[in-house]
Amino acid sequence: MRRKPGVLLPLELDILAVFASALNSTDPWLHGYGLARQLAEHKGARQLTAHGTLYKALGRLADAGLLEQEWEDPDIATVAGRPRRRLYRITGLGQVAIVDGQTAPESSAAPRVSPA
Amino acid sequence: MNAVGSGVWLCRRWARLYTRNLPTAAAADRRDELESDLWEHGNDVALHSTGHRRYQLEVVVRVLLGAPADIAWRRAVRAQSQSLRKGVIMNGYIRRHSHDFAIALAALGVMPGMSLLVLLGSAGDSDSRNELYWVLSALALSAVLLSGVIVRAKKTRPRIGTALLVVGAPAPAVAWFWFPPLYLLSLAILVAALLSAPRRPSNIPAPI
Repeated sequence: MRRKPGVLLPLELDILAVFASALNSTDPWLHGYGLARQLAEHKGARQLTAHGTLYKALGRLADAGLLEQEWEDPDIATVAGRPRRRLYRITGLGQVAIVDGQTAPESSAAPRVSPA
Repeated sequence: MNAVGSGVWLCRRWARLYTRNLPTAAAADRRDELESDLWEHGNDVALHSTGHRRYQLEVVVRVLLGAPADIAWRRAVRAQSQSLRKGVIMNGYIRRHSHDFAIALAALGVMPGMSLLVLLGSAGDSDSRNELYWVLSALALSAVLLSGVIVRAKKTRPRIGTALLVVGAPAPAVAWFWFPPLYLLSLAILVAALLSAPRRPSNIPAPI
């Protein structure tokens, strides 16, 4: 599907919604798999979001400034005995994009975002 | 590889394939992120005792369903890196040649002033002081321009060389003021010197 530049897809809005709800928890940072798991719960789906779809969407949201991302400290990963995680968190701009998406009429286009 | 590891094997092989010949950082980030995902997924399955076969099946489905997005991502990253590389090559080509061009123009601009050397003796003998001042001014500017050519050609102090070229740029116009085409030569020296001027290093980090 060819999209208009700056328009959020339903999946991207769902991702932002999950990150927004994570703000109420103790840790607003989520890694890719954790997000995929929460997205499945959010949508009531059994299947997790595909790797390519998920990470492409995360990259696009980070490029647009709606998410911030950072790699976990390698020492923490080493101590935990697992690969280091790439962590994401919603930004203020991302929260605004969700509000725009929720207030937009069903028939109208998805909220537009300008790249950071 | 056994049947149980087929999903993880497929995911790694596929990731290695679609990240080939991409910028190192982007490719490594994607592969590392997938390794983390696979590990977390496997750990989650182990915690919930879901079963390895189901885990592998889920991974295979996630790989296959995400393949079109992976290909689209690869195309986007390649397009971005190629346009950046083209920009760098073009920029380097233009800058290198503008440097040579500025030196060649300035060397040409020194000639009219040097031709006035033959007038220097006769100007001193004449009553016209103005002519002497004109000849001396043109010679001084030409000397500055020649110094600029030498300094820029040596590339040791490009900023000083540029400054000398800019100051000496009017030399051909002053030397042969009765010949308007040389005004254009002066202007061309000025523009070429400024365009080929060394730039301060940028603070902007290199793109991935």
